[in-house]
Amino acid sequence: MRSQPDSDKRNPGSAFPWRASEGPILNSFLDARTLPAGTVIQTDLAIIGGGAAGITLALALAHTPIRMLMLESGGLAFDDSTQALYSGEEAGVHYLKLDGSRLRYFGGSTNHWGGWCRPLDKSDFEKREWLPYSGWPFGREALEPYIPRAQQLVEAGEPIYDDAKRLAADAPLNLGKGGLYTTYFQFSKTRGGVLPTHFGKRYGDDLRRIPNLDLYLHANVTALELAPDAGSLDRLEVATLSGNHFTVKPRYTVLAAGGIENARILLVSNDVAPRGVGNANDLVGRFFADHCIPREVATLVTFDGNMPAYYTATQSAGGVHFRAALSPTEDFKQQSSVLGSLTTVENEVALDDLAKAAVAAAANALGVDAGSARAFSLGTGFELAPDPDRRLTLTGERDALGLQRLKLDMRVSNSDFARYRSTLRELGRQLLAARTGLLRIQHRTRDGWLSVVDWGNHHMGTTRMHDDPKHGVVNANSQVHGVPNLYIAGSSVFPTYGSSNPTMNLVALTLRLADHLKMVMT
Amino acid sequence: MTWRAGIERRPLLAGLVGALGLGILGGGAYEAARILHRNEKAGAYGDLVSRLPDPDGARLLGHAVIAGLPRFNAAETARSLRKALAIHSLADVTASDLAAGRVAEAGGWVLPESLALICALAAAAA
Ligand SMILES: Cc1cc2nc3c(=O)[nH]c(=O)nc-3n(C[C@H](O)[C@H](O)[C@H](O)COP(=O)(O)OP(=O)(O)OC[C@H]3O[C@@H](n4cnc5c(N)ncnc54)[C@H](O)[C@@H]3O)c2cc1C
Repeated sequence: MRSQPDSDKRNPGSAFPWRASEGPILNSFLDARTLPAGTVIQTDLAIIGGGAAGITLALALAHTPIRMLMLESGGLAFDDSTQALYSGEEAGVHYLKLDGSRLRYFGGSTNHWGGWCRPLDKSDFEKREWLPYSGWPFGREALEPYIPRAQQLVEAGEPIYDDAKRLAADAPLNLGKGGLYTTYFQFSKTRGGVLPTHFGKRYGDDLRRIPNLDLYLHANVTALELAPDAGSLDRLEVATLSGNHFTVKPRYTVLAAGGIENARILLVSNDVAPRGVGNANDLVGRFFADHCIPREVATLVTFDGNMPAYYTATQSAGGVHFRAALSPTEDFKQQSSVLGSLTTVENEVALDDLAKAAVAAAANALGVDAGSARAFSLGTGFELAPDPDRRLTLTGERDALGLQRLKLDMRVSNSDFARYRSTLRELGRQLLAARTGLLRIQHRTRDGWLSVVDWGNHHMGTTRMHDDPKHGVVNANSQVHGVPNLYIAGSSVFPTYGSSNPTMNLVALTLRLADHLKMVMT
Repeated sequence: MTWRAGIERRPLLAGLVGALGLGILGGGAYEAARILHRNEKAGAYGDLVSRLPDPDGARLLGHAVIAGLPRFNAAETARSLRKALAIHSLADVTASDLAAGRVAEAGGWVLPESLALICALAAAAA
């Protein structure tokens, strides 16, 4: 194994010439449907999937001696028959359709993402005694050096986050001392009317300029074929919807097909390993997670009617787009055994009689004037606890390429709702104690919460990371346990999820993987 | 873990008396007599309820508080509140509640516990 170049050691991720835009366009993308059937392609590194993770990896390894081949299922635009390969079954708690919450063409789900960004919190990486299955194999400091470059790639501006308060014209809500504080999202750049960075469109030309990359469109990886001793990955089977079949024989492979499809490709690859690749311990597909996004979770009243604009809508200043949210502090999370949540202020709402009575009584008791009080609805995205039974399994149904489809068993536990509820209760206490306002929590019962539940389209956890193969599918370097030349990129490796949106974080993690691959491959 | 986040009556009252106990032991005979006098006019808990600006609103909130407290005991609650309020202002009692994390809900509205309980008494007396 060669050691990392000195420049990279000082500044991980620095050897990153993705600003290849100066050079000439060298390649056009290749169409896998035109390859002679039975072709066998040799390469150093195969990248399966051309979404945020796959594109990041190719950009990060540009101009290295590593010969890369990207295999992307879709073309340059949406196409019904390719998208239909994503459909599956959903069971349990209401969830989004499996073919409705992601996009299967070049650029992947960034073709319709919202651009919300925020780094994971320090505690998101920690093992918490009260939270079974928690703990990443490394701390946030391992990801931090990659955040500035990840921010560049998602085009969210300089990563200032909680420092955004210095850009805000008005002071934040006075929350006094307590368990919640005002934190900030940043947003992927808007360009004219085009919202946020669509990786395929934005980086297509950059990829075409990379001399050590070939990119095949319409190329569906249908199986990862292990060597007969199951100790390494031998080859990839690839098919097109037009009926073409070919083989890729890479030295190394990175699976970057999204948080759901990564698990599916491992599970269907069961010729040599009967439970699927990397699945000796029956972990692939388990621990599926998304951010629970119930609507209208609470009403927040400010006695003086003040609500700084950056709580209710994105603001632009100093080259960044930002918006405030209310987050539990690290101390409160630990002391009260609650998980991450990011509560946003949504719309101004009218008060009913009970609300008016509550405002009058509270203001009187606290000795404040509520003559100008205004009320706002709150929304949120909160973290679920890891649950091995919230999982993807193969069904008997097959898609147009003959691959078994997936079934998702979606679950939310009562304690997931209860944890978020106690966070809101603390927010209510804080608002009163600071004499700022008061809060109504909308839901009390499981049915109440479920009636407003929606999801973030953030697919995480299905190939979780852990140093011990009994507890994780990949190790700390994102390498599949037991298969030294197979790696996974994307949020499927997150063992716990935090409440931050995943994409900027998975891009940072992919940059870290690129540094590792440079080390082991060159 | 039970789903209902209802408030247990016992710790709730214990918290109230505990936090202000020292002052209560010190007594407040004059204040108590003054409040009891007002009480005659305004129903069983009028001495407490009259501290709120809007009796109808208090009753409305109180019904919602009681709905979340299946074992609400009005007499016992009133006894504890009177002790506390005999020597402390409502503002002090609510500030003490909030500092100690004692909140209760009225139809989801998070209120200082003592305030919520006075509202509950308004409803109980009606
Ligand atoms: C509506 C919506 C809103 C979102 N908003 C946000 C947000 O605001 N902030 C945020 O952080 N995240 C957001 N996300 C999530 C974000 O889109 C994903 O985190 C991100 O796209 C994941 O990147 P990825 O590369 O892992 O997967 P993808 O982007 O899904 O890319 C996977 C790629 O693999 C290809 N592929 C799949 N199967 C195969 C196969 N068998 N062979 C070859 N190629 C294959 C696909 O065609 C696709 O191009 C949102 C998602 C949705 C759907």
